[in-house]
Amino acid sequence: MTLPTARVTARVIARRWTGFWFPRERAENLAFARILIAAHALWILLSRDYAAMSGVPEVFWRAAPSTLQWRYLLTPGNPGLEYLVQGTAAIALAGAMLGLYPRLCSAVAAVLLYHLAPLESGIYDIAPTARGLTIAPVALLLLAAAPCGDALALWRPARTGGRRGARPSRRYGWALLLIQLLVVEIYLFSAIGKLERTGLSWGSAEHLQLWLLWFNQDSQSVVFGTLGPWLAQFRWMAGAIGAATVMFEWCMPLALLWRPSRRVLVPMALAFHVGVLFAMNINVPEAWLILVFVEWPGSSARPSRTPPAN
Amino acid sequence: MNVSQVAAVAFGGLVLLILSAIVAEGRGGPHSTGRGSPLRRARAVRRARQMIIAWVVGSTLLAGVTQRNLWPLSSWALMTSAPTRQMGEKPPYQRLLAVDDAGHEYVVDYRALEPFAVEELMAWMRYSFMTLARADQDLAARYLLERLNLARTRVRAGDSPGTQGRWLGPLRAPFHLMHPRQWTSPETVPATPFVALRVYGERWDLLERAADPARFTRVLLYEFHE
Repeated sequence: MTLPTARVTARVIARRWTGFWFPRERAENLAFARILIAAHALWILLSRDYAAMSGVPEVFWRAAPSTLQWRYLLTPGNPGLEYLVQGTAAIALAGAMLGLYPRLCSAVAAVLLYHLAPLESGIYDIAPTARGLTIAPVALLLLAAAPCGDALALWRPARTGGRRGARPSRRYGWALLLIQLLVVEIYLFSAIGKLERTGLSWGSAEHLQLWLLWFNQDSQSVVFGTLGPWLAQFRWMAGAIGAATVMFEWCMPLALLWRPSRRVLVPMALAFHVGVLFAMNINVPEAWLILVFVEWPGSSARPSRTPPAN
Repeated sequence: MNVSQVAAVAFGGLVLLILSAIVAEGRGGPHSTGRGSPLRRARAVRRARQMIIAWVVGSTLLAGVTQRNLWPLSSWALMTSAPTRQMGEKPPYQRLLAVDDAGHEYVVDYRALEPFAVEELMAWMRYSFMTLARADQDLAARYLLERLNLARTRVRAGDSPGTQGRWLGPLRAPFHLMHPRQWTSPETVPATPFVALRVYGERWDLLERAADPARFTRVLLYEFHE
């Protein structure tokens, strides 16, 4: 490849990259993502008592990784301080959800949730994946950097202007797309992990039969105990579920690349999680965030992906 | 760098980039008195956003492709391994049972163990509790027994055994794993306090237990008496 050709190729790639990440998007769609992420995080926060975990006897924290302290600024034994943090996080999330200084509230909530969430699993696991607050800290940070309060907000500071958000704009698309990427990665990375750790045999009938039984035999963790064992009886059905799961997870990035696919993939994802819940008693609280792909109704102006002029 | 250090850099770097984008945007806002042409300021905002995009895409892909959990930039390694038939091998699965003064054993309701999320506590019991010295085990068991008796008192009074998310009622977010409610009415717990806590270890073969639910072994691993 000659130097001029390489330059042209680099320009084309850069232009496509920019065109992809800066689509025109409606302010309402970004605002809806803000409401959804904040409401979801608030729901999780109000359902737990992270601060109280700081007050359990020291013996429970003794085996916790020492990195917990500097990585999340956690020092068990300070429940009073943690209750203050927890209360502030709840207020910030409510502000972000309602649209009261939403960017500031999103930034504050992001940092505080990053600190609080590891308290749930910290005695055993340093990374609280799939406990409900995995996507929120990053998504809220992204919302803090984007004009997420230009629509669906109770109150907007004068400087944001009342006319902004009326038409699709590149100001809104990039942050929404990044948040959607975070959701898609739940499935994509899970698929990569299966391929790396187990290989193509992950989706085999034998493996799926064992998984279905695995999550239905310890009575301490079984609420829905009928569907899973029933499905496990049929080898062909277990094989079909395994193959469909692998295919579905690998197909999820399509939701980012091709907008019409969302009409199929989003309901499919919700159905997938409902199925996993009833068949395997596994709840992935972050799964509800798939709704960031839903478009807020009311405007006929369609977002576009034409590359920006500059 | 170890995984924790990479994770801290990934999240800390994102925070800094977000701050820089906010600063750049503030300089170019409608009420800004910042120096430089509007075009230059707009370019600065665009550049800051480009940096955020590159950082988020790069750091999340690093976590996902290498399967190193850089939470909250997670690798989402959910059920990625191959399942085994033998459950509870090294160490065994554990089950907590509370004992009243008449010697009757009671299955523990997951809400009675608050503030612990029960699956985190049971994982800790499985991998950490049994490695503790006896005196430390007793410290932990005494605390758990206190929690169970507080919950027992609430249930006897007609309340829920737990208090977390109480005002959300049935809309409270469930944990990652679903757990059945055991203490649903005052009759499901004893009138007198629990006096002991037992930790049992359980092992079984998935296919054998599917054919016969009684096919499992249960061994007493630890007992604490008040």
